Amino acid sequence: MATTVITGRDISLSFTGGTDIEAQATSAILTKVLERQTYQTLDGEAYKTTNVSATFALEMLADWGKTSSVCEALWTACDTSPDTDITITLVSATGASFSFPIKPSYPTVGGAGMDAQTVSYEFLVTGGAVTETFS
Amino acid sequence: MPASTILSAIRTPLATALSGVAANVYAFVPESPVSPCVVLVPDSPYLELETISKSTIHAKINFTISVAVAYNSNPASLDNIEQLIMSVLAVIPSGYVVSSVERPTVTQVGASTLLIADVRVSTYYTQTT
Repeated sequence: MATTVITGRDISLSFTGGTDIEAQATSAILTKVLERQTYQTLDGEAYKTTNVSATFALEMLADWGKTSSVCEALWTACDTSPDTDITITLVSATGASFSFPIKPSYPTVGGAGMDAQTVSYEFLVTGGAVTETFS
Repeated sequence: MPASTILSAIRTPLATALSGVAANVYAFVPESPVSPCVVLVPDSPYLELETISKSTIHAKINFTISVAVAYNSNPASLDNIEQLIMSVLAVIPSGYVVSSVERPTVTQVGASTLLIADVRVSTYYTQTT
């Protein structure tokens, strides 16, 4: 079978609320991890997974002032309903879709010199609950 | 959102803004530029695909704005090009990022000797249909 190569441009991303995140996002990475305890027994190592957690790292070009601004929507969400989940759907490539709730985080504001203003987020995925759909 | 091309969404607004400076403005590479002049040309790489997703084309576009004045007397020419660079920087529209201004160099163009400096400018383009 031929080698498959997928890139960041194969990703599609959507937020609840209808903001145009794809026009701004330069990187979107979902990380789900098992928190596994290791026990030293007389028979050797034993393992027990005690928790599953996930984070969603998003880097984007700041879009303050834009109609349907992602930065403004997240800022408002943090002000008004910081504990309400925002549902994100990330399609890594055709046939691999991941849907998950995140808690909002305030975007950073500002930038350096003549560089484009950027924002980096590290969202907590609520309960590590990622629903994947593989074709 | 109305349909847009790089010409209508990016180059024309930039050229229109540049038309406010006291120089001849070319949106292409002229055969015989008349100094002082400002020439808008693509930089390399021209298009950079920095954002995720390919459902819509979002591209960073790089341009070089070549600023040229007659090279007759070194101190006066340098002063002239510095003033012209400042006037170009002053009219760059919002949404366009100036990354650097390269050092002036003496260049022979046709029968003219010009002092030229390149202003690196970039912006982002979203294709709409």
